[in-house]
Amino acid sequence: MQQSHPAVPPQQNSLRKTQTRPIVLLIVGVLAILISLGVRNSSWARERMLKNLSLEQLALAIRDEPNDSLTFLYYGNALITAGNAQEAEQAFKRASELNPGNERAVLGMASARFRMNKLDDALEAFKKATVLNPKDKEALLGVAQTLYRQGYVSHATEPLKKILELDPRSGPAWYFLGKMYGDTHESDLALDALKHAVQVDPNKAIYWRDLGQLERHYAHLPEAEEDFKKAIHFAQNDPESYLWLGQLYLQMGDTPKIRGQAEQCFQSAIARDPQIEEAYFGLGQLYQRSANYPSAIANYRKATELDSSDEKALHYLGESLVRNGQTAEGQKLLGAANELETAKRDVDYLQKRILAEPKSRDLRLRMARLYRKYENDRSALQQYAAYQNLGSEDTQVRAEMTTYENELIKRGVLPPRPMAGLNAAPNAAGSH
Amino acid sequence: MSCSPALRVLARCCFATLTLGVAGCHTASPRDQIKPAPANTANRYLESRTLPAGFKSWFEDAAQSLGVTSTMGHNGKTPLTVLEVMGPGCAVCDFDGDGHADILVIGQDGPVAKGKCALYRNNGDGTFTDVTKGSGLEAPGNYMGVAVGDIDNDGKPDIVITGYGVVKLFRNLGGCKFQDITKGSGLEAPSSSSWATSAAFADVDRDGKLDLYIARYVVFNDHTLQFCDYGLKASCGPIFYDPQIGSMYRNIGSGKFKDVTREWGLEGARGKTLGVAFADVNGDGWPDMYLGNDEMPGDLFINLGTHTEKGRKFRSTGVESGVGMSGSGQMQGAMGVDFGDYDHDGRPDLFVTTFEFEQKSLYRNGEGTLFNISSQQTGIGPATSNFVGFGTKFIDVNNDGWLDIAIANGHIHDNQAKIDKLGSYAQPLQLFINDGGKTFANRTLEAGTGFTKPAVGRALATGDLNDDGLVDIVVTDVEGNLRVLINHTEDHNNWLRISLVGTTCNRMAIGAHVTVKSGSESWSAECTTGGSYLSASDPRLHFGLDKATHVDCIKVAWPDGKTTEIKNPHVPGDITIKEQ
Repeated sequence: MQQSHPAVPPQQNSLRKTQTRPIVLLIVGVLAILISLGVRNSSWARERMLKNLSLEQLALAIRDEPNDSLTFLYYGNALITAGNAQEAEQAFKRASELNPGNERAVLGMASARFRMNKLDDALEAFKKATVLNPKDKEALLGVAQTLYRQGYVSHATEPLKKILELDPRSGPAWYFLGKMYGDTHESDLALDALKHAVQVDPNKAIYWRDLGQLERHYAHLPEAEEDFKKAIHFAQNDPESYLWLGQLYLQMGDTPKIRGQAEQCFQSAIARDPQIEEAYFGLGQLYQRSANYPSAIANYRKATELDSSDEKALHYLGESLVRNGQTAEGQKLLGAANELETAKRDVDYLQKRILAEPKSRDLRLRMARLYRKYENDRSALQQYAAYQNLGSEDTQVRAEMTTYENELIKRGVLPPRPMAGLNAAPNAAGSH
Repeated sequence: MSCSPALRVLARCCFATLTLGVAGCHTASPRDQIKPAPANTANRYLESRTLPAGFKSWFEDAAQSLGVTSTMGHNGKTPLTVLEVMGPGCAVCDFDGDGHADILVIGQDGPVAKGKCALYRNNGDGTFTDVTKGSGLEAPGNYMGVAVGDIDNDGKPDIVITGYGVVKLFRNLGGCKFQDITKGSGLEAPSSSSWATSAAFADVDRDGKLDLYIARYVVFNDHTLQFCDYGLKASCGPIFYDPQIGSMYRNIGSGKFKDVTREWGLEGARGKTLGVAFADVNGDGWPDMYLGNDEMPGDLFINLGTHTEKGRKFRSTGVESGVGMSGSGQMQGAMGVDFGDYDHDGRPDLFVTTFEFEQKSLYRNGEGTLFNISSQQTGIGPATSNFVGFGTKFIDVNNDGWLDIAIANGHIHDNQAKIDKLGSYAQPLQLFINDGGKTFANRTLEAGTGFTKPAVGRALATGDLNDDGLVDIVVTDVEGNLRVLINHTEDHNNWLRISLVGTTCNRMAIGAHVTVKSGSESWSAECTTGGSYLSASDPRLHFGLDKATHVDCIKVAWPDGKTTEIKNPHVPGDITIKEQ
């Protein structure tokens, strides 16, 4: 026999429904409120909200929520966008302190330090970010770029290779790998990497442009021409590509056709960026080559106006003036160009020698004196200090330093020394 | 201390880069001084074209068959320091006065290489005999370069050998015998680490006695950097060393010289000099001097040559005359230098070999002291930029009357192939044929295996070794046999070879300006043994005359101001002109 539930009369059933509906509605309502509250307080919602805030609003937000890591993260991002890397570093640092596992905060901090050229600190942070997330391509790229800038080019390729293991179609990784191989004279690998970069990301003008520049260095002039044309195709407003193509034409020969092409490129670069000094210089070279000295002079003048420290433009301006019969002015400028070139060369060579021989006291002292000569006081003091730190106290040089410091105090470059007995800074360089 | 406003601007804009504290220092690679390596194939140094089957090469490396067996090398030692890879030199000159050009090879006796000088006497039939033994030149030294000039006007060319911590002056006693007269001559090396490179003779003050300029390179010793980090350790470039400055020595007679560098206004030379050449660039009759400086602006010293100064004062005009920098306005790694009138305008033009990825610089002499870079226009620039060029000479290979250019190439890193997979230590020589003074065509392939077979080329000297009317070439290879490149071109053009004998001017007539006229054509050249790199070449003046069968006149402007004119000389052939 089948046992059945007692039958409920229809009226009673309807009554029960009427009685339960408010409860369901209440539950649904409560749930909705809870969900809404949950969503509103979720990091997703918060990020949506923070993303839309301006720098000023974010500055207020961190006051309201001084312990919210996310708010500091977004504040840091906004500061980076505004170009304030110094404060951005502090914001990211705070975000990271509030949430030590926040990889993005560490990455932001690294990025801010990189922008400020605090490379050792940036490297440390980038590496920390890769520990937090070993597959973070951005962090790996940061490690590579920092090592590259520090001069450890061969080490810099390793993280890039890791990125390519994770993602063989990473354009940036191929691109930077190409640039780094180029610097380490791995010509074949450099070309191969940059060709990969343009293959995986064929619309990226900068990849074509740098590939062209590499081809140009390697004297593959027709290939370089094609690459620069592609770069122009994908970024028609990029003055650099026009400039480099113009320079390539200058290098390719000296026929009327090539001259015309070069001229057109330099003019196009100037049309896109009227401040592009190298394009005026290129035009100057072009006109000087065809003995059109008045036009050469006009363009070299513009170039020197835009960059008064360009000794080459100054030199050729002087040379063109002499050839144009304006001998006195020309010779004067040639003299100035020579002076500028000598100064640049002296400093450049000594800097490179110090990089190669960092423990040479003699080089440090010479560098200090050279900086002093050109009134680069901060660097001069640093080199004096480095000299002293590299060996036993040299009283003669110490006296020289003291005289120099006195000069700087007199000129108002350094603050007056504290009174005797107070906390006198033992190391001048350290105090600046 | 103060500096000009321009320099202050510079100080702010470019000096902020070096902030090396001691603790934060690391030995960074000096790679930024090297330019990136070019290349698209494993043999990027060669042209891609081929020659027709059966093509007869223009030159033959006949060193071994002619009895010239000098060889150099470092027994596989690697890496080599910059001192070990820069030399050595060679000279082509008729040392024994028999009318045939002999060969002197300079041997570098360094820590690894145990080279010795070797003198090869020309037997007169184009073969050579090693006459080093008993010549007085046997004693080894850390030698590099050579200059040849008759210092005592006795008709026998004397020899100066330069090197690291050493300069030797050898008086030619005749019969291929030499006497070391360095002691007390005033030419002694100023210190044991003084690094003398190229040297050249010229009668700078036109007093009838040959003066001497000795170029010097860099301060290199046990305390300086030995190797640089290019990924691999290799010899460092010049920027890592302080410059040494060359010296001008005035010949005061009796085998004595006096250092007049400062007195004559040459103390401002920039140093790091590898090549030196004299020529009267502005046509005022006084010898001017160009110094090829490595990664420093080149120096052109114009001899002021007034009656009051008597040629004993120079003015530096390198930068303003347009020969200080490369075509792109950069400093260049200048090595070898030579003057020659490649465009037939009567003025000596200048060619400078440079480091890799720098176009070799051809400067056309415009108005005596204003030169125009013409590497690009003539086509020689792009074709030379992949090479590290050293020795070079203007040479009319085919007697067509236009000066061609020969270059010895070779890297300074013995392990370059490992540093740059597409580069190499040994590189082919190059030959550029002058097309009517307008362009130069790369004819290295036609020149033959003596050119295309890679060498670590350094010195390059020229002279007609077999007296066939074609100028031959001698090239040193730091890691191989000396090359004696015998010229076999078959253009059947006419030629004229002129030997000058000075009587009141210096006996070799170095500095004499000779013009040869034939109808509307004219050619000019200056007598010299200098130029190139660590080398000395045959002073006899060789003129290719193309198809001209008749020469109207030869005009000689002697260094002392006298002139001689010879009408209707016999061509082709040799002619000796004595100053009257």
